[in-house]
Order: sequence, then C-alpha cells, then structure tokens
Amino acid sequence: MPPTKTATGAAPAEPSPASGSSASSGAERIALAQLSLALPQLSAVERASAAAMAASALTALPTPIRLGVALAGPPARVVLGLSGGLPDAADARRQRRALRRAANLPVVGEYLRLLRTLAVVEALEPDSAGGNAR
Amino acid sequence: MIYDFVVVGSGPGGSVFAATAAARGARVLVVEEGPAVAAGEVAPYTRAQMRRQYRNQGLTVALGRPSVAYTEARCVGGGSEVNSGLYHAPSAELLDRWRISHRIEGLDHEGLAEHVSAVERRLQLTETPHPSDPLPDGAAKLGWHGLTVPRWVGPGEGRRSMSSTYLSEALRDGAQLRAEARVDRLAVERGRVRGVRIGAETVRADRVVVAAGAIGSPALLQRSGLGHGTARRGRFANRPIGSGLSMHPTVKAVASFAEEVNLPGEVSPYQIKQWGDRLSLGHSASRPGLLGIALADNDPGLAARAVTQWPHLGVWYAAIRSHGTGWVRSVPGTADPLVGYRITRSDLEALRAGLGRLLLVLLAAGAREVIASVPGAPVVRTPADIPAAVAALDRRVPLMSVHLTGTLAMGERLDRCAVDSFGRLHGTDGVWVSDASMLPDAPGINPQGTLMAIARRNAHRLLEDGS
Repeated sequence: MPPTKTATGAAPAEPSPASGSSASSGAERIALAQLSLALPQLSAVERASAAAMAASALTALPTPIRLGVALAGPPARVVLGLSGGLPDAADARRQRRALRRAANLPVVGEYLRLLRTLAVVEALEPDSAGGNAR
Repeated sequence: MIYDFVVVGSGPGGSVFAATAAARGARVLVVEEGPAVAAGEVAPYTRAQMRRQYRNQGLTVALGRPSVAYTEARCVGGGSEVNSGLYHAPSAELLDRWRISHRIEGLDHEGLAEHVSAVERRLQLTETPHPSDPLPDGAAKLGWHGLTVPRWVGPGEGRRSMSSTYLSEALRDGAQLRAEARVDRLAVERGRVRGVRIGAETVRADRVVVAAGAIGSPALLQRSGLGHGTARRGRFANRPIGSGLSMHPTVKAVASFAEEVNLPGEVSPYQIKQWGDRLSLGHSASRPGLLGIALADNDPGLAARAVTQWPHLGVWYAAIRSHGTGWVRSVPGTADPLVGYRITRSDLEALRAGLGRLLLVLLAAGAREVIASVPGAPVVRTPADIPAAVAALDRRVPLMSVHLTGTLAMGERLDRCAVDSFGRLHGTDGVWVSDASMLPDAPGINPQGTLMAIARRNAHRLLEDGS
C-alpha cells in the first residue's frame, strides 16, 4: 500500500514549468520546500497538491494560534530565502541548511514544524475519506 | 419548554450523566458541537478522521517551551468514538491522593466501586492482544512488567463507545440530542445559570451540566462571565477556572523490524507500567502519515522511509505523569481559547528516562534500529547508542498529549478547586461539571474509565438529593 494518492484523491493541477509547482501562498511555498527535502521521491504534482492541502489546513487552527501563524509566516519566508519564490535545484543544499537553522528559532521553528507535519501527512496518507479500510 | 438538564457535550462524562438522568425520567437535552459520524464512515487515525471528528481538525497546541500538541474529539460520543478504548480502573492510591490533595468528600475506592463495576459491565471490556506488537517480547526479555489493557473496542468487535452505549440509552429513555450546535455561553440570570445560548436562541433548563472537555468547559465558563468573578459570589470570586491544566506529555520513537509489524488501523493495547503511574510505554497509531511525521521530527530526510518501509515500522511512546501545569484562557472576540503548559525540569528528566527505557525495550524486542522523534538524535542500533539519543532531548522536543485534566478540579479546597466534591460549580447556582476537567490532575493511566465512574457517582448524588 504505497501511499501515493493525494489526500483528496482528486487530480491536482499541473505544476507550472517555471517554478516546478503551482504554489502561490507563502505557506504553500514553505510547505513545498520542506516536502522537496523530506519526500523527494514524490512527483512535483503530488508535492504541490500536498503543500496546497497543508496551507489550507492552517485555516482550521484555533483563532489565537492562527494569528500567531500569520505573524510567523513572513519572517519564516525571509529566513528560508523564499520571499521571491521557490529556489532552483542548485539551492537545495542552502535550503536544507536554512531549514535546519530556522528549526531552532522560537515561533518560526514551530511554524515550520507545523507546516512540515501537515505537508508530510497530506502527502503520505492514502485516500481515507470513506470506509474503514486499512 | 424548560428542560430539567441541558448537558453541554456528549463525550463520556456528558453521556453517562445524560443516561443516568434520563433513566430516572428527567427531561434531558444533550447539545453537541460536533457531528454524528457513523461507525466506519471514516478510517481511524487518518486526516479524514481528524477533519470530521476532532476539534480544530486536531491542530491544537498548548503553548510553552516546548509546546505540547494535544487533540480533543469534537463529535457525538466525544473521545470514546476516536480513541483506542483503553480502560484502567482507578487505583485506591490514586483516589486517596486526590481526596487528600483536593479535599474531596467521599471519594474512595470502596465508595466508587459500584460505579466502576457498572461502567465495566456496560462497556463489555475485552482483552484482545495486538497480533504483531513486538513490545511484549521486549518487556519479557528485560523482565519488565506489562499488561494487555482491557478496552471497549478491538479488532473485529463493535465499538462500545458512547453513541452505542450510554448516549443511545439516554435517547431511548427520552433524552434529546442536538448535534452540530455550539453553546456560545451559559444563560446567567441574577447569579444563577438558567440555560444555554446557542446563537441567538436561549434554551432554558433548571440545571446545566457542562461536559465540553478539559479545554472547552473552562473556556465556556469564562465566556459566560464565570471565570473572572463577574457573576460569581463573594469568596468564590477568584476561584480557579481554567487553571491547573494537567496532562501526560508523550515522546515518541519509530522502530524498524525485519518482520512486518504494522497494522495501520490498529493500536496495540499492551502497556509497560513497570514504574507505577509516573511512566507508561506503549504503542501509537502508525499509519504511514503518522510514521512520516514521527520520522521527520528527527530529521526531515527520514520521512521518505515511511513510503516504502511502513509495514516494518511502528510508532511507540513514552508518556509521563507531568509535574507541570497549564492554563486555558478564553480570548474575547475569538471562538477558541488560548492554552499554555509549562514543562518542568523534572518533566524533561522523566521524559529522557522514559525515552531511554523505550529505546532499550524496542531493541530488546528485536528492532534493527530505533529513531527517536527528537531533533538530531542519532539513530539507535545498540544499547550503547541510547545515551546520545537521550541527551539530544531538550526543550525543542515535539511533545503531544491526549489526556487533559484538571482545569475545573473537584474538591473543597477553594484555592485549587472550581467545583465541589460532586461536580457542582463553587459559587454559582444551577451548573455542574461532568468531564475530565474535574479530575484533579493527570492520573498516570488512560483516564476515561475513572472519569466515567466519577461522572456516574456525581450524577447519582445530584439526582438523589439535588445537590
């Protein structure tokens, strides 16, 4: 049961050739960058879909936490060098180092872990919306 | 219509109360914020389940250093619908400790026994071992004491959750259920609670039983103006509502075995409790997504293992009875409260000790390697690797908990207790509490069995003499 389906089971949009994904929001860009490091074997389409799901899940956060996340997002993008869009493949090593450093920052580190957690589970979880199947 | 009781929340505390009251002919309305989800409608331990049956889709956290992620159910039947159904009866030592520390009248092993027995009979507890959990072998090799915990759900069995036991009995006996309805606040008139507000509607009742969980119940009382003395009388004005949050912080590890050990929809009921109530070791839900999270917490690059190796991987935990404490505060203008928790130094030491023992027993069970969910901890392949992995556990460690208690503690010590020895809110007429928030602190065992017995005891008291 390799968990390769997207969480919704729906066909995700094709990624843009220029960026490697259709990610648009800051949270999506961060989630996508983390998925590129965590699950490189997934296709760009699968990663983009999971990143979008992770970013949209932030709306479910408790209201006070959501406000904190809104504040943590911009500095997280700056720290990761994602303010101008996604890095290219040559930046992967720098990206990995930046993520490792940022993980130790208060608030920003927790924000990054939250997004990574959501992105990973959305990417790995088989379609389980119905039935009690394993 | 004026109900005899409006019960806010349909989890174990609320359902036990509703069933007890309805059986005696009381007019009962149960109001539940979440939806009714039929058995099998969503697969267990999945994001789909989190979206449907958990508060804030399970994305809730107690702020602190480290923060502690926690989950609470939000559905008809509450936590009993989504948890592993593990049942522990409260020990005499636990009840004695609570009775003395919080001056709880009449709470002892003997007095609670009839309620414990009634709950056990109703839940039809069974002991069904997990077929491929290697932890019992590891414990046996080390000479450690473990047990297959009785539960109200098992492979191939129907789940004896609230919606199929106490809540269904309450409805059979005439209680009404209103699901997907959020109680915004209690209706307080001249210092007495006389019903609940659901949007613009007021539902009137002689008495309100708050059973919205250890986070939801104090937040509701605070939203109703009962948390800060505004509607509470004299000497009770500053009593703790939302203070005293207690929990079992948990650290996890992923172990890899040569044989297949993972049944993604099952959690093993086996626990090692060699060290009394201070530390428990056991198995966690191990779906591929959850494995990926646990691996990525050590090193994001390890998450990929969950894709191809998941049948050979599982997640196990070490849970401590924390000495820390936390708080719940409603935030004006927002729907959700803010929650905080302080992990103490002794908690960190206990977590390190627990993690070390977990790594050791997993190796003894035959694990080829064990990866602690601790950032940067080295992979453990032999017992000699354990000290370095344990030493990596610091205040960056991701912790989680599912057992939240203590935010409306019961007892007669007014400096500690929000409700009296039988669940009645100190200082305000017309409102009782019947959920895990009234348990004085985290009990060191899965708390739902204890909660249900105490809820039944308190319900009988209220129905017999009205106080």
